[in-house]
Formats: sequence, C-alpha cells, structure tokens
Amino acid sequence: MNLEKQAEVTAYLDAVCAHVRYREVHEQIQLELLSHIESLVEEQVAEGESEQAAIQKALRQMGDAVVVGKQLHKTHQPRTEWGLFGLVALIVSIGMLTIYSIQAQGLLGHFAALFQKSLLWLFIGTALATCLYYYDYRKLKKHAGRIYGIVILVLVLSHFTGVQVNGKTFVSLGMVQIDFIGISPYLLTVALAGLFCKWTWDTVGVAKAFGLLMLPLVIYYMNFDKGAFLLYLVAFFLLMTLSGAKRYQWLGMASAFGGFFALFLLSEPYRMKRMFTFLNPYADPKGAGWLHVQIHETIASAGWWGQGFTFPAHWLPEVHTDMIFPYMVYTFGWVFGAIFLVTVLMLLYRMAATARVIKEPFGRNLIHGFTGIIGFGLLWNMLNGSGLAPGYYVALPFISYGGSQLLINLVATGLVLGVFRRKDLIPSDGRPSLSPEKT
Amino acid sequence: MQVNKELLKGSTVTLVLSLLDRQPMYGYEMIKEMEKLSDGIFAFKEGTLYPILHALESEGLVEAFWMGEEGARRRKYYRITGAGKRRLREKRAEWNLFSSSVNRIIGEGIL
Repeated sequence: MNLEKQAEVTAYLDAVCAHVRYREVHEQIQLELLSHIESLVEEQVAEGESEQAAIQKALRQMGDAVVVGKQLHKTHQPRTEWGLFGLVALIVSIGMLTIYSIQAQGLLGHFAALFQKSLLWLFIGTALATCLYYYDYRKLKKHAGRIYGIVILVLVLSHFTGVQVNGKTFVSLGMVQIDFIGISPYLLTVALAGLFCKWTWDTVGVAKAFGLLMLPLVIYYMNFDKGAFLLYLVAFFLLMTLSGAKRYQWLGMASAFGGFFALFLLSEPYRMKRMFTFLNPYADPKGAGWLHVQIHETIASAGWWGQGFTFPAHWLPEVHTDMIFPYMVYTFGWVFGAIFLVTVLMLLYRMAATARVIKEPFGRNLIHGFTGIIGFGLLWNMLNGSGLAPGYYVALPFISYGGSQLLINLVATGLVLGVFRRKDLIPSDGRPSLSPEKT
Repeated sequence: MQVNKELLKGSTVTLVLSLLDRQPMYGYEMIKEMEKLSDGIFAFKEGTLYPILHALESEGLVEAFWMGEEGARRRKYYRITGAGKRRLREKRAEWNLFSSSVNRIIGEGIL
C-alpha cells in the first residue's frame, strides 16, 4: 500500500511536522509515521473496510497531530552544552586577565597593545565560532581529503616562502601574519576525523595512515615546530585508536615511533642531556638547566596567594606564550594554579563526556580529536611550566598570546558545541537506507 | 474495562524498554505486541509512542536503524542498548516495590 499521495495522510504528516521546528528531522519522522499509518490501513482493509474509511480510522488511532508534533519537537531541539561553554568562557577570561596584567606591568615593552590585539582576535574568533556553531558540520566530512591536501600544500609553500619571526615560520597575508603551522594540527584533525570515519584498517590502510601521519610531521620537523609536531602526533594516535584500528596496529606504529625517537636522542649526546635536564637542572644551572632553574624558582616563590604584580622583567623569556603558566602561578598563587588545573580537567572531562553522547561518527571524531589536541596543549604546557617535563614547549590553549592560536581554539570550541547542538537533530544512522543495516 | 491514562503515563518507558528487551521492533509492531500482551487494555494514541521512542533514543537508552528490502516497506527498528538495559533493571525494581506496596494497601485476597 502506498499512501504517500493521499491528501488526508499528507495533511496529517504535515500537521505533525509543522510543530517540529527543525526541518532536518522532518523526512525521518514522516517516513516513520507513514509506515505506521500504512500498516494500520492495511490491517483495516484486510478486515473488509474501504480504504477511505480505513485511513480515517487509522488517523484517529494515531491521535492529535498537534500533540504528537509538540512532543516530537521537545525531543528534536538543538542542545547547547552550557557547561562546556561556561568553562571555555572562564578559561578565556583568565587568559585575557593574564595578558592584561603582563601588558600593564610592561613585561614586554617592545610588544605594544598585547591586550588590545588579543581582544580583537577574541572578537573575531567568537564571531567565527558562532558561525560554526550554527553550521552543519557534517558538510565538512566530504571535504576531508581536500582539507588535508590544501593544508599540506600551504605548509609546503610556507616552508619555502614564509616569513621567519623568532625562528617560527609565518604565512604573511599583507597586514596580518598567520601562524599557519601552529593552527595546521587543528585543520588536519578535521581532515583525519573525516577520513577515519570509514577507514579500513588492513595492511594497506595502515600504510596509508602512516603516510598521512608522516607528511605533516616531516614538514613540522623541518620548520623546528615541536608544538605542532606533538599536537599532530597526539591527535593522530587518538583518532587512529578510536576509529577501529587494532591494538597491535597502533601500538606497533607508536613503538616504531618511540624507537625512532630514542635513536634520535641517543645519536647526539646533547639531545639526551637536553631531554633529561629537567630532572636535575641544578647540575648545570648557568647552561642547559638555566630555564628550568628559573621555572623552579618562579613556582617555588609564588606562595599560596601569589606575589601580585611584581614579576621581575626578563626573569623568564616568553612569559606571554610558552612560559605563561609560571607567570600566572607566580602572580596569582598556588591556589589559583590548582583551581586552574581543576578547571582544565573539568573542561576535558566535559569534552570527553560530550563525545560519548554523539552517535554520528564524524562529529564524535571531531570532538575526540579536539579534546586530544586542546587537552594535550593545556596539560603539557602546565607540566613544562611547572618544571615537570622536558622543555618541548607548546602554547597554552586559550591563554597564551597569539591571534592565530586563540582563533583556532575558539573555532574548535565552536565546532564542538555545534556538533553537540545537532545531536538530537540528526538521526543516528543518517539517511534511511534501503538495505538492511548491520548491527 | 479501560485503564485511566494517568495510570499508564508513569510506566510507558518501562513498558517500551521491556518490549525491546526481548527483540528489536518497529513502532507498529510494538503497539500490536502491547495490545496482545495486555489483552487490549493498553490502547493509547499510537502517534504518542514515537516521541517516547525518540526521547529514549536521544538519551541513548535505545538505538534506531532502518531496515527493509528494496520495494518492500522500509521500517525504523529500535533496539535496546546497554544503558537501556541498566535503566530497565532500575525501573523494574522500582515498579515491583511500588506495585507490591500499593497491593498491600488496597489489595484484597492477595497473598
């Protein structure tokens, strides 16, 4: 029986959907209700009713379209993860306060208007994040391969034509210089999230994935960007592990990596020394251990409630980026540092919990990838900033000064909130399929 | 005899999860099964089953999948998840406590 063209049935279905504001679920609801109505009508007709009478009876049995529609609307509403939003807002505010105090103290005299620039980027980033919040992120999935290609292309181009500032390569766009290498791990995470949705993890698949891993890493290595290197490594292994790779596959790849890294360290004695200086910086306090000693003393002298705005100029380099955490602890105290750590852990817990309720694989991958990248950045920077890790520095997401960095972290947050927003708007397995689904 | 709708309200989730605990089903099938098992007592407006199912799906207690060969009718099936099974256990315990307590007070000749 096919009642799709029956005026009464169509009117009923339309009346139901009129109360469901989000159009994306209309098709699914109509198909499901239609199949129910058709079954009811079939049953009546088999018992000898005329089709018209059967339809009327079936619709009565379905119940008031307004009631059904309103109840369905309640379920299919966009959701906002206010907890996640609030935590990010809190962390960003802490960042802005810190940048303001660094500027007000004149710790980076040559670097004027640090705070104003951050504010501008915060504004731009929030606007972009808002757009992405409303954007149907699923559209990005089919561009995953293209995104990967373009990112690699720009990375290669910037390697040869980029502007060097303090040993970092920037892409120059007239007025603004973009830390493209710095934001590229995030973009590649989007690409991997899409590519790994339906990845076949056989030998060929693993080999291809290995290529996807190595290509950016080589570029990062050639540009001496340890931050991007580490972030991409973390995002890659996280997504690989969570998207169906067998344990021996990712463990194998990771241990090959570990072995290579060990060789790399052992091949040059100074690398070993640098790597493990943080364990005993006082062995060489004027040389390799200098920065670690400074960090130790900064943290040690902070006290429970901080030293206020008395941070000595030139005491630590890069207090506005890599070394912003020891500055924060020194200025605002150990208690503040602990509160900050708890806030960060809450944020990461929240993000992981958000991923768990997303059934759509691309969206879930996106959240997992960003959780890994942002989480690693936050924790690794704090470890380094407390002298508890070797000095491979990354920026502190949302806090460290840097327009591109702030922008990309806000954009990632916007995407995560956008995925969560649509969690009840998207049917679990996308379009209804014609063939039986596997369980 | 008809059952007051208000009485049914609190237990629809338990009923739906119990049905799906046996096997995956689509909406129409669930209505029929419920009618059969309750001797026609639970004859409610069928459209209101879907908001319940969709809400359970968004809570992760059930999951949905479409099935049907080409040409035949495609149907949206629901199946219970691990979280759904846990919820059902709680709901069952709650119901047993509730119903036995009510029976103790109003019951006549109940052993």
